[in-house]
Amino acid sequence: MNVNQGIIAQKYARAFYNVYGHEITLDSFWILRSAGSYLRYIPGVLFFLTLVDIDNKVREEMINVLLTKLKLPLSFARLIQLLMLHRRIFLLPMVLQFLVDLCQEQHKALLFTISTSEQLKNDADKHEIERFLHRLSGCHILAEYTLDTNLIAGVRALNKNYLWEYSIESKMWSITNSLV
Amino acid sequence: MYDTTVILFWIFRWLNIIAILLVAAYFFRKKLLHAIKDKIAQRRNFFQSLYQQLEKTVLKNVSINKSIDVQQQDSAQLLKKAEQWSHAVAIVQREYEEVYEQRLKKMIRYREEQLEHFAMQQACKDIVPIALKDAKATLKKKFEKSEVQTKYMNDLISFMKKN
Repeated sequence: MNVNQGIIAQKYARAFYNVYGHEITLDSFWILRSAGSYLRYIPGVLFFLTLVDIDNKVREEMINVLLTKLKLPLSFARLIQLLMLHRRIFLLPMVLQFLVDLCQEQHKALLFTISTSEQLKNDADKHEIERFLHRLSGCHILAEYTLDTNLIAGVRALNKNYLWEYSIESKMWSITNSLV
Repeated sequence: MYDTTVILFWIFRWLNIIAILLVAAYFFRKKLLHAIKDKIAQRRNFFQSLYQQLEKTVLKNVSINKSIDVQQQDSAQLLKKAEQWSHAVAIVQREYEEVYEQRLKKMIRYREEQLEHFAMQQACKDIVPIALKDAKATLKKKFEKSEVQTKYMNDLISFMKKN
């Protein structure tokens, strides 16, 4: 990511959040995140919005289709139009990413990637892990679960800033560190 | 009685003797006395100069003796200082040797520790990875069983509940 582009995208995100922040709740967090990831990994979607010789009506329809596809609220149409007007539509994935960060910051939420050695069989266990992390951090926990057989057995909760792990692999790692 | 001729003989004889003595004295005084006086004066001067030389030599001897005494005192002081210095040097050398020995012992101890550490590290390098690999394989095998895995997770979740 270009640093200057990042700063500009952050400014767009902050401005959007200042105006439409009340519409972005913790429930829409996952939608924003998946939309950001989708656009980041498939940037060709935005290519059609950069074409100049398209009627405004068609363009609005394209935006609506995109919003429906990404399950984003209609308020995002304003953001997309503004970015198109400024010829910075390519910044949309970054803006969405910053909105995700802002949403976490505003709602005091932390996104954790929780890796387990085996698939968790019931939701009660997941809730228990999330409650545990909530008690540790004092923040709302947004969790996404992955399977990691390298752990051998146990759980790893990894955030942008924090790591909590209790697994056989971590024990092995600490033993290795103390011996070698 | 006495014969006049005899008397006269004796008178003249004595007069002759006196005259000869006077001539001899005159001759002695005129010719030899001056030379003898000069000779005596020369001798006296010679002896005087000898005496002066002797005096000078005595004085010189005295001053030499004095300087010898001074030099002996100086040398005694120097010897004393040299002894003190050698004593101080011996102390310093002993201290230095002690320090050197301590340092040497320390270095030897450090070297031994290093060797031990190196041996330990070598052992760690050779043995630990194998042991860890074996342990990991054993643990993987153990936790492959579903019930063990589930028990571990359940224990972990109950730990989370309690804390």
